[in-house]
Amino acid sequence: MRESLLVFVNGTVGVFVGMAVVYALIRVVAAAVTRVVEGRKAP
Amino acid sequence: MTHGVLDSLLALAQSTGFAHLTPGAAFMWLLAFGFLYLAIAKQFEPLLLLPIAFGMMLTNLPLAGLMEPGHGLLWRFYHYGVQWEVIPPLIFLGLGAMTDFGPLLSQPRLIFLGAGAQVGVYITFFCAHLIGFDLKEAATIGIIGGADGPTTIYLASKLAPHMIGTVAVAAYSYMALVPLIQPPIMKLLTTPEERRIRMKKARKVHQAEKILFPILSSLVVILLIPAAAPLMAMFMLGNLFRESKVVDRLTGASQNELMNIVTIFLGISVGATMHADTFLDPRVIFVFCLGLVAFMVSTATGILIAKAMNLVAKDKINPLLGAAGVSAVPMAARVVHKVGAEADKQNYLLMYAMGPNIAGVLGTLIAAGIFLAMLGN
Repeated sequence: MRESLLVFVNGTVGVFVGMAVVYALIRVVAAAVTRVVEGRKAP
Repeated sequence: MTHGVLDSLLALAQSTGFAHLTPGAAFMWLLAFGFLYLAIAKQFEPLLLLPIAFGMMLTNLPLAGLMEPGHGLLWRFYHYGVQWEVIPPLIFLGLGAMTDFGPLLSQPRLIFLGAGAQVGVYITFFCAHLIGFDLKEAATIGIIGGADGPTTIYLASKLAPHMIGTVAVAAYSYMALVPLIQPPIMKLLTTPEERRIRMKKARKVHQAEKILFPILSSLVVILLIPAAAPLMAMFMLGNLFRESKVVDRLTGASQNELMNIVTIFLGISVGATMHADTFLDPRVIFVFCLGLVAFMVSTATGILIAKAMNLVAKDKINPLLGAAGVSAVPMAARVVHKVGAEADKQNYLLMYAMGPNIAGVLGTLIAAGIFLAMLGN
C-alpha cells in the first residue's frame, strides 16, 4: 500500500515535471528561433 | 498382424495434434476466430488484431511447438523482437516519422492536457494494486489508460511478460472504442458553454523549431528519465527524419515499409503469448475492467486539467481538448472535434486537439519510463 502510494505520487508529479520541462524547452526554442529569424529580417 | 496395424494406427493418431486438444485450446481458437471476425468483417483495428488473432490461434495448436523456448518460430519472433526490445522502439521510429509536432509547438500550453490524462494511469495503477495485483502487474494495467499500444506492450514486456497479450488486446480494443467510450464522459464533465469555447488562433511554427524540437527534447527527456530512452530516442529520430526534409527515403521507409514489417512481427508475437494456460485466468476479466477504468479516468482527468487551467488562463481552453490527452492518435482528436461540432458547428477543434493528442504520446512514454525507473528492478 505504502509502496504503491509512493509510485502513484512520484509518477504523477514526475509526469508533470517531465512535461513542464518539455513545455519550457518549446518556449525557449520558439523564442530563440523568433529572435534569430526577426534579427535576420531587420534592416 | 491386426494388433500391429492397430497399434501403429493408434501411435499415428497419438502423434497428431487432435489427440492432444484441450478444452482451453479450443476456447482460445474460438476467441481467435472472434477477433479475426472483428478484424476482417468489422475492420476493428485490423492491422494489429488480425496478426494477433492468428498468432493466438497458432500458439494454441497442440504439439506444433511454435512457442517452444529456443526452437519455436513464434518464440523467436517474440524473444528477439519483443523481449530484446527491438520491435516497440522500431514502431516508435515509424510513429515519429508520421508525427507532426506543429500543433503542439504552436500551442505549447496544451502539453499539460497530455500530462493530465496520465493521472488516470496512476490512479488505475493504485486501484489495481489495491485489489491484489502486484506492483509490476498494476503498472502494466495502468498504462492501458495511456491508450498507446506500443508503449503498453513495451512496458508489459519489461514488467509483466505473462500479461502482454491481455493488455495489448485490451489497449487496442479500447482505442478502437474511443468514439463510444469518450463522448459520454466529455459531455458529463463539460457544460454546453464550455464545449462552445473557441480556441485562440494558433501561431505559425517555423521549420527550425520543428527540427530543433526532436533533437533537444530527446536530449532533455532522456537525461531526465533515462528509462524512457529506447522509445524516446527512436520516436524523435523518426521525427527528425521527417522534419529535416533531407532524408525522404528514410522517412518513407520508416513510415511505410519498416512500420508494416514490424507491425506484422509485433502482432503475431503478441498473439503468440496468449496461450490457454496463461490467458484463461479469472484475473484477465479484472485486467479488461481495470483497463476500461484507466481509459475512462484518463479521459476525465485530461478534461479536468483543462478546466483547472481555465481558472487562471487568459485565453480559455476548450475543455474537450483534455480528452485528446489520452494518446489514441488521431481517433481521440477526431472525437473531440465531433463532440465540439455538436455544440457549435463552426468550431473546428481538430487541429487544436492534435496538440494534446501528441502530448499524450509523450506523456505515456514518460509515465512508462517512470514506472520502469521505479519498478524495473
